[in-house]
Amino acid sequence: MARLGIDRALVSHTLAQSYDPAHGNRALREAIAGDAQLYPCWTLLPLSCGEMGTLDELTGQMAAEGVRAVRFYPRDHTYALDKWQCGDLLDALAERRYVVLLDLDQIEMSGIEAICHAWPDLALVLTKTSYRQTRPLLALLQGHKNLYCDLSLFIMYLGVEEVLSRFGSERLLFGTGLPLCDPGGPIARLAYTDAPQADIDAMSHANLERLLAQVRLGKEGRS
Amino acid sequence: VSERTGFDWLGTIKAGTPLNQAGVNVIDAHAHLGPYFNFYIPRPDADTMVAVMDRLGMNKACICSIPACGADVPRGNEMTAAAVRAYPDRLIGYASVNPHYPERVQAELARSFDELGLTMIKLHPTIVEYPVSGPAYEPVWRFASERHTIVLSHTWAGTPTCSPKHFEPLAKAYPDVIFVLGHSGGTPAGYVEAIDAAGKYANIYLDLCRSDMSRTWVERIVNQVGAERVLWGTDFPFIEPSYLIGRLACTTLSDRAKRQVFGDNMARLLEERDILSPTKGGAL
Repeated sequence: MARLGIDRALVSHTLAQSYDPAHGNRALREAIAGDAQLYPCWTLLPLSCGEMGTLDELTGQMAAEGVRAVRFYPRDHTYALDKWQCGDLLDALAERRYVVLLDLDQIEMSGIEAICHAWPDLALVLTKTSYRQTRPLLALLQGHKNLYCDLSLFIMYLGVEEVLSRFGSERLLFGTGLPLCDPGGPIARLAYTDAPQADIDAMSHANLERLLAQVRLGKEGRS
Repeated sequence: VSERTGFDWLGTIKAGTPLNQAGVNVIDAHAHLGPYFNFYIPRPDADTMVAVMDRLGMNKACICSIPACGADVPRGNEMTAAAVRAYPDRLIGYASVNPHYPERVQAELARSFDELGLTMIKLHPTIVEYPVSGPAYEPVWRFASERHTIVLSHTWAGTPTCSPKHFEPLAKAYPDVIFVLGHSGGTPAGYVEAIDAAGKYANIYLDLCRSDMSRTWVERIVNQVGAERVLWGTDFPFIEPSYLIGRLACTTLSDRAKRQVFGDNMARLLEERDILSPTKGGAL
């Protein structure tokens, strides 16, 4: 980040995806303790097995630790991110206006559409987007204002220009996928976009700042 | 900033400066043209592609139209040729063949080079579902040898048609043909296999045309194969080339290595093999 001039990052721990979410979230807490540049993004599971504690325990802990964004890996962790298996959790996250990150390879497009439709107050950010998914992706962006894409792998030819012309700059967020991917691509993507500086600023930081600021950490609606 | 040349790669990228205006020769060794049934591509025409090349500072792109990769090879070769005729200083055309019509392979190559003005060969064995080891491709290797040209092939580890190791016997049998392994085998296992093949045969080159290749793998491929045998490619208009510009520019590779990969290597091959001369059809 220092070498490439990236100031701040929302981060999850890789162990939360590839080993165990609870362990990974604890490892994340230790890894970023005292670091003012790194903000926690926890990885969650459905509440059914108790691995995340109760809903009150989970939301209370996230509020206490300033967690404003979460991730799900429904395909890797073998559950459905839907009303049946995650309804209570998604209700609570939507009530608090949480930012939810989701890799595109973790869920079917119809599942994304269902989440956007059922929980319009969630800010759903698709990561690991594929250049092969332009047809459903543009339809989702058209249909749901609570859907966003990060730029880590938004690698479709002229894809940024396509979104800017159809939906404006509010729907794209700078992201890198570090350390699994590399920031050079998204840095160049933004730099070579012939968009007004206000749009560049929105994509590079302001959109995510706005979404994170909208999160209500406490029951009383504290932000 | 490169200590040797003082060239500021990151600053150049962040300023959005077209790379050729900054003195970097950028040649895309692996590009296409036109729409594709599988997914939506905004404005995949030659005019828009060249405008994108201008914006990014890409001097040339070596293209093979999408239908030439399999859907309708003769029509596709003609489509490639039309774009090359429209932009002869910017686009270089690959001819392709359909090995399921083996009796037409030799004639289609001759037509593509001598009548259409295409000068290199591109194969997509996965799309046409025919292995590079098959006899229908034999005329391709002989033609490439006779014309002293370059063959770019799609490669993907573990496929029955074009895993990187399948090119080892071809590289051995045709040492005067340059074989470019497109996508360097496509996966981490494929990168290892492609590096291994390139280590055995000096006429095997690898390209970095891959949507999600990490910086670590870019650096590993260049460092292990040698920067002089790695080519920069984008797959555009599938992939947005600015991503792949940024990926290579922001590696920790040396200034010299970045320049070799971005375009100096391809420029050398084009010159050494006289690819743009009238005898190859390039001036038609």
